[in-house]
Amino acid sequence: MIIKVEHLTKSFDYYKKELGLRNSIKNLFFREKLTKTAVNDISFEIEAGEVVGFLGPNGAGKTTTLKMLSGILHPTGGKASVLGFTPWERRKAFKMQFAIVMGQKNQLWWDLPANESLFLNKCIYEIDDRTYESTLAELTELLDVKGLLDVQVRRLSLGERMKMELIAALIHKPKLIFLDEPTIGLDLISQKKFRDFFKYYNQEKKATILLTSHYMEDVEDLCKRVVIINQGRIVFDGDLQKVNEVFAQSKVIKLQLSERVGREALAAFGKVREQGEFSATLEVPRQELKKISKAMLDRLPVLDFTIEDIPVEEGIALMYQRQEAV
Amino acid sequence: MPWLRKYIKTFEMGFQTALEYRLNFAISLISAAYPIFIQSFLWTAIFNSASGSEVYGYTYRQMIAYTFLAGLVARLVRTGFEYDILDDVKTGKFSKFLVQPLGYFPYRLANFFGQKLPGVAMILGILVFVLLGLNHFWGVSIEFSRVLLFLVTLVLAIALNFLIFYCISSVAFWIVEIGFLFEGLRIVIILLSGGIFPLEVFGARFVQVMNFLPFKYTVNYPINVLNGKIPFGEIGSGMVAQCIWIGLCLLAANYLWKIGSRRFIAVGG
Amino acid sequence: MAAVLREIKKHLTLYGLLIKFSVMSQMEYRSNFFGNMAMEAGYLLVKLSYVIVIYRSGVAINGFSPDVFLLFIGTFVALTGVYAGFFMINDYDLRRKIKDGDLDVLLTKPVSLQFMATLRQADLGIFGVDAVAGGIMIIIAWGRLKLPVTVGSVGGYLGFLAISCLVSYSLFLLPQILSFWFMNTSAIAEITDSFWDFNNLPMTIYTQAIQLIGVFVLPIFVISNFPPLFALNRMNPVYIAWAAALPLILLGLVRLLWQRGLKAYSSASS
Repeated sequence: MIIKVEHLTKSFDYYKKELGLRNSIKNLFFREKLTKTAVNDISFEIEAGEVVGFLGPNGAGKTTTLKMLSGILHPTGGKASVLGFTPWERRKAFKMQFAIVMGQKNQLWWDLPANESLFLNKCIYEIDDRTYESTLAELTELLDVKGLLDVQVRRLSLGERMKMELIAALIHKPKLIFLDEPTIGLDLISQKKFRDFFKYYNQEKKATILLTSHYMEDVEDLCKRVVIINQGRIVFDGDLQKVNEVFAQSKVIKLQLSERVGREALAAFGKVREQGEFSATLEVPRQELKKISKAMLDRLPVLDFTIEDIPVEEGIALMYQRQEAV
Repeated sequence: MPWLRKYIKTFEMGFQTALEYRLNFAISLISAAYPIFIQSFLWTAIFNSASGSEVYGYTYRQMIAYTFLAGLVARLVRTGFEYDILDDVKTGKFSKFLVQPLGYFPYRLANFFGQKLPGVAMILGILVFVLLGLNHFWGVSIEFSRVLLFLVTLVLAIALNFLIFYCISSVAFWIVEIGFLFEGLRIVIILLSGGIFPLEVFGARFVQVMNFLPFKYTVNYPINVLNGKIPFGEIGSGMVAQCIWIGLCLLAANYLWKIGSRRFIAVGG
Repeated sequence: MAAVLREIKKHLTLYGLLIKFSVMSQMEYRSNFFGNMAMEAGYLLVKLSYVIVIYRSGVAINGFSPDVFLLFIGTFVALTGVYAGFFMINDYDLRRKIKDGDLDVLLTKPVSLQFMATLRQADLGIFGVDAVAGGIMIIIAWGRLKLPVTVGSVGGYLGFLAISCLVSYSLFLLPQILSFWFMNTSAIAEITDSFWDFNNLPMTIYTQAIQLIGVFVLPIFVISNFPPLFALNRMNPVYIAWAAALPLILLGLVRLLWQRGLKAYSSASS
């Protein structure tokens, strides 16, 4: 077992802020203290080699959990053992074995070519020259960025930059990888490439991967097991298949229309979730997606057409309903 | 006068900004007090070790009075919009002024005076205390008529310093990445204005050169009007010099900004 | 012991890299680099104006000849280069890093966080201006005062300079660490930063009480007074003991406060 979490809880205090000069003066003397529980008594275990997805809406406590498991944050209560260490003791031997990638934070030097920052990480992780060369060659090959190593990071596209961030995070061959929203802001093709890379990396290196996302696709593509977190609590922990039954039983189709279409005409294709003057959002069963899309394109004045998952928040609500029904 | 309204608004906005940053201002006053403190100790030590009662033509009292006043006046005339102008050029906000019926110069001027007002009020208040203190503890007496003349020269000094830095800020049209260059120029100009030591300290030749430059009219001259170093009969000619320099700087500013904005348009901001 | 030495070697290598990276980054914005040098030259000019005032007055102040003043001011200028070029820029950055949560990823790395967070940036342009000017002033003063050029005297002076560097690093870092608890510490920082300028002149010009406070309570005078006092053979035993103890005390304090701050950081945020 590589991760064991028992009753982990994280709450923090903050102060109520009121606007205006009078209130700022008042706040100097008495401030109303409020407590927010970001993570509330969660427990789970992860085996070596697993890829587990943390799914949940923004502010659910996914990132906070990840930060505790990587030792950035100190929990308010509970226990955790990661690679045999208590993460928030921040032992060096622990740090040498894992990596965390945060989609919104970068560690590369902005004005320098990426290979300089990579070399810095080589020194930080005390990697010997030969291992460094071979790992670097392998990762650049896999991510197809060989020619970009000596280009200043600020001149790279977002996708290329994220690839470099990944190389920087993986250069010391971590056994355990935490990914926090790794595909945020990337275009669809890059997202797909990232998922393929991690799939390969997990299979080849037997690395354990824990990822958070609010894109269903990230999770769907990579993880057999899903943990759904909402308001700091685990609401589901189990097979992706079961989640898919709920989440993916229907898809959302967004339409841009060139002329006005009556509500009845739309309702013939599926459940109308929203209707604007020249736009509409419909929910259709997944099995019939192909058939219905084709019919729609044939019969409606469609300008633009996108297919999406139902939003995570709604999926979670559905999960709740289902659990209560059981 | 509807055309004036927008500048009054700008003035108000500057005023509000200054109030918002009142804590920063108070703190900058504290850090402005340090050099005064250090220099006072230096002069005390020099006068204690010197043989005569005068050093560089100043008595001890005059020197201490100069040190205090120089710190305050230099703070009073200080601008601080150089990096705002740089930012306007860098981000292209300046182009807005080229198409709108809002002149950049009056906009900056109104904003500057608005921002300056609370600080001026505060510094003048401190100045009153300093003058009373100097009078009480060191027996430095100051004539009332000189105080009035000082206030006139002070207004001219603020205007002159505004124009000097407005000219300097036009550098932004040619180079945007200048680091802390303005900060360096500011400190050198303070030195040349007599904002740290009286100019006489650096020798007669230096003073002669400074007579041909505008800087001393922003700090050194107003102080010498106040502390009586300049006889009554010569005060007028100094004010004339202040006005001439204001005129010259206006012309220079006009010219620099004209070719600068032409370049701004050509390069495409 | 071997492990400690290995860590020290690793961090020295890293520091070399960080300085190299800082220079490379600055070369990408060359005019900024020169702008910063111009600023430092401006400040240098002001410091030199003090020298001019003292030389032209022609008096020995409290028994110190102008040449002695030159030695003190030269030392101050050179150390200003170290402080402004290697320490101060990181202090400003530390506040931003704490605010933006930029320490998060650094915390997971097998390297000293305090090292990475407080020594990451360097400005060799600023350092260069002051180091060269200060060095020249020191050499001129050293020659005019006919001070001995022996391993003992020069080495001892340099040793005290090294102590001064440690003291300035830790003394001026202490108030910055408060950023872990208070979001807006720029006000405190501005006040403490301008404290630096008290060293512009030797402490002899201040009263006895101020000197005592400046050496033993808020030990800023240690920074630029002890090296020249040693060169002039004017260090008393109490000062020497204090010079040996102070860096350890201050570095210990920094360490203690840093750990506490980090605890607050990792407990209070989400």
